Amino acid sequence: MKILVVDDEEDVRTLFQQRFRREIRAGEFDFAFSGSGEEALTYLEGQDSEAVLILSDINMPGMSGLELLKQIRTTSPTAPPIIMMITAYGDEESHSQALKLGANDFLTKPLDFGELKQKLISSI
Amino acid sequence: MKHFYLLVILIFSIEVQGQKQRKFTPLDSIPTYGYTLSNHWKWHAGDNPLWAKHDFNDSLWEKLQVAESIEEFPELREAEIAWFRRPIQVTQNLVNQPLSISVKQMGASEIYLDGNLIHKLGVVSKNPEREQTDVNTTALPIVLSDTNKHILAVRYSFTKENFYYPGTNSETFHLRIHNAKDIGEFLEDQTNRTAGFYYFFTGIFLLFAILHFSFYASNKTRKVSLSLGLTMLALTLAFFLRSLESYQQEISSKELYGLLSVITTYSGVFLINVSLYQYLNQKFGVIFYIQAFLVTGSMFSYIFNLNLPWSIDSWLPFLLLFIDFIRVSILADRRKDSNAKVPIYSLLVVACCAILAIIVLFIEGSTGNGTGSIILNFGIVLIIIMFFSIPIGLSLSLVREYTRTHQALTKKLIEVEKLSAENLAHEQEKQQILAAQNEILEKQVAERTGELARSLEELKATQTQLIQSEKLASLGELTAGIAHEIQNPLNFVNNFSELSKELIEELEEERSKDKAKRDESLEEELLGDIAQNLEKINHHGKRASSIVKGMLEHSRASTGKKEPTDVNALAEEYLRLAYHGIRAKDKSFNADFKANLDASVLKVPLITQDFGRVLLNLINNAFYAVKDMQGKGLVVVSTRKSDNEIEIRVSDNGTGIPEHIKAKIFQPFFTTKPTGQGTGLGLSLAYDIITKGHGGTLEVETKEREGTTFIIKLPYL
Repeated sequence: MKILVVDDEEDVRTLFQQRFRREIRAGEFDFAFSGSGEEALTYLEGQDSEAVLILSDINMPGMSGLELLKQIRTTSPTAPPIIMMITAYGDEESHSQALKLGANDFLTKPLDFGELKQKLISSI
Repeated sequence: MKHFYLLVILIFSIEVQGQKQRKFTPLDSIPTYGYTLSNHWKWHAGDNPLWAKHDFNDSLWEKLQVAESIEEFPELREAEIAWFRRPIQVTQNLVNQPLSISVKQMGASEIYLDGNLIHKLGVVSKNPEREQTDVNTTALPIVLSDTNKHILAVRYSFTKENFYYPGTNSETFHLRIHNAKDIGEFLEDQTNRTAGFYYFFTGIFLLFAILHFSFYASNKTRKVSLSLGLTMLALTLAFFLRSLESYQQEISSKELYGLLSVITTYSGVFLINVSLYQYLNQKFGVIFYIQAFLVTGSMFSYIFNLNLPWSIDSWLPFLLLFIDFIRVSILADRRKDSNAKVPIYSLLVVACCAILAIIVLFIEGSTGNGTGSIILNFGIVLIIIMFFSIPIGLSLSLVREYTRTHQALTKKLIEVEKLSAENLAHEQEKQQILAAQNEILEKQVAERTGELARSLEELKATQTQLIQSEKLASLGELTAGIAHEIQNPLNFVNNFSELSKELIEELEEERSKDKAKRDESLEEELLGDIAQNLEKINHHGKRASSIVKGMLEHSRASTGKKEPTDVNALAEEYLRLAYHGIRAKDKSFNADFKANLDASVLKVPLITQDFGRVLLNLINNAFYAVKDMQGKGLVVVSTRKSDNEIEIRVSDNGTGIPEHIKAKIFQPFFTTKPTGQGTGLGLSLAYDIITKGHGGTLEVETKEREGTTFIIKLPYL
């Protein structure tokens, strides 16, 4: 299962790779990483919606996570089906806006990776 | 002076008139002062040696009165040369007695006794070049050996070349006979009366002249000193010239000195009048000029021997002068002039002297005991005192006045000293008052200064507070960003440490397996991961701590110390902080940002907190300018190094700054933000920090709706 993680923090890649190392080793999860909204969009175009789940940070310079969500949902409403938004500021406004724009879930930093794993498994 | 002469002549004429009536008689006795042979003379124009002879018949000759001026004897003047004859006879008393004759004359003469030349006085000649006049009175010895009538003949010349003035009283020919033993005394008396008096008065008047000129030299405003000086000088000259006159041998020079003496005498007399006028502050009016005219007229009348009726020329002007003295004195007295009395006193002296002199001379005339008497000398002195009492009186009163002035000045000086002492006391009092006022003023100034200083302190405190609140405002803007920025690394730290724990557990699990089952490569991988994680933990821990440090630095007061600072790192950090800060406050905000950093920019000495604040302020402003652009806004921070400076640009593509605001943006308290949202100090402080704190420049380039760029230029050493 292909999961695209969008975050401007580079170390997120290492973190995910280690957190889900067993799953990756077992071939349960397959992670791709993008440093910005724009990068994510380019990736999605190239991969032709290979990714089935997107995990995106909201607070990013340039295109924000919400903007990315909006883009994906408006330009290609079909796929991928699951988009989860992550934010450091667990405020209601962002939450409701994310859901309104078509986010499937809303997660708050710091991430509970056990919970995330369950959500990922259940989503797939 | 004229009176003096007139009176002297009067004395002689009394004597002469006394002799006139007498018939020719032989000389029986001769008085000690001599006997003038004035009568019984006959004369004839022309020159003939026979006329000296005893037996020559002179009955047809004209009678002659010789003791007169040549002016009174025009025939002789016309003839130029002539003979005088007179019989001379003595009684037995005088036979063979040593007698002496003294001659006063104008011309030259040869004296014959019975045809024999006995004496020569000068050189007799009709030729002016040969003629030598001899006016000296000399004693010539003569002896008559019997009682017979002898003939005294005189060959006399007076050529027209000789100078004289008509008014001269020099006698044409005056022959006196003396006992030889008396002649010395006679001549001595005469000399005494001339040279003695003349020198005496020359000296006196010269002293007065010097005195008055000195007065004038010391005080040029006192014109009376000058005129009195001139008066005295004129009188000095008059006497001195008289004195010179008596020493002349030649008639021409004698007459010249005489004439000059007359002129100076008149000038002196007239100047007395001038002095009086000036002394009593009388204006020179019509009367004065009439006087001047009359005196001048009198002088000319005297010199040219004009015989006016009753001789008014000789007394009227002088009488008028005296009357005018009295008039001027009375006028001065009416004006309460303190000097008015002086001329009157002088006039009283004049009057007394005149009366005394007349009495004395009358006695002298009536007793008739000759020219040598003490009484006559006394009379002459009286006349002189009378005549000069006025100028001398004036002089003395002037001296008195000077004394008075001096005393008055001394008194004034004392008064002035007293006054100046009082003044000084007054001044000191004033100064004390001034000093007191000064003290009060200083106290007030000090109070005001204190108040001002307090106000200034308050203002400074307020300013500090304002700056602090500006810092806090920007800190507030940052807080959310900082929270986010710290949260992120902390999350990493937590995550990586948790992960490391898991990895170690996994590693231990792997190790507890049998050697055969153990996956060595997994162990290696796990160890590598742990090491990597520890590095990450360390990295993010440092990141968080640097953010906290930055925050603290930002809120702390500036140390003002320059430290080598990595401008690029600072720019990047604040760019991120600012972005997240704004995002934290305004969730809908979105904009792109970029840092174009020149890697060649090394560490630059900067006051880090201050400079960071400037960057943050500029970046915040830039984000503020692009907030309404729905993510299309772009904020770029770029650094660039040139030869001698570092340039940091903070650009946005936002609203731009209108021209009318551009000029004000660096002014303190100027803000376009709604009330309560900006202090208006950000750019003003930024400007001060860059220009004053770092010696750099802060400029702005802006275009409405296209964007703004703030350019910091720092000198790079």
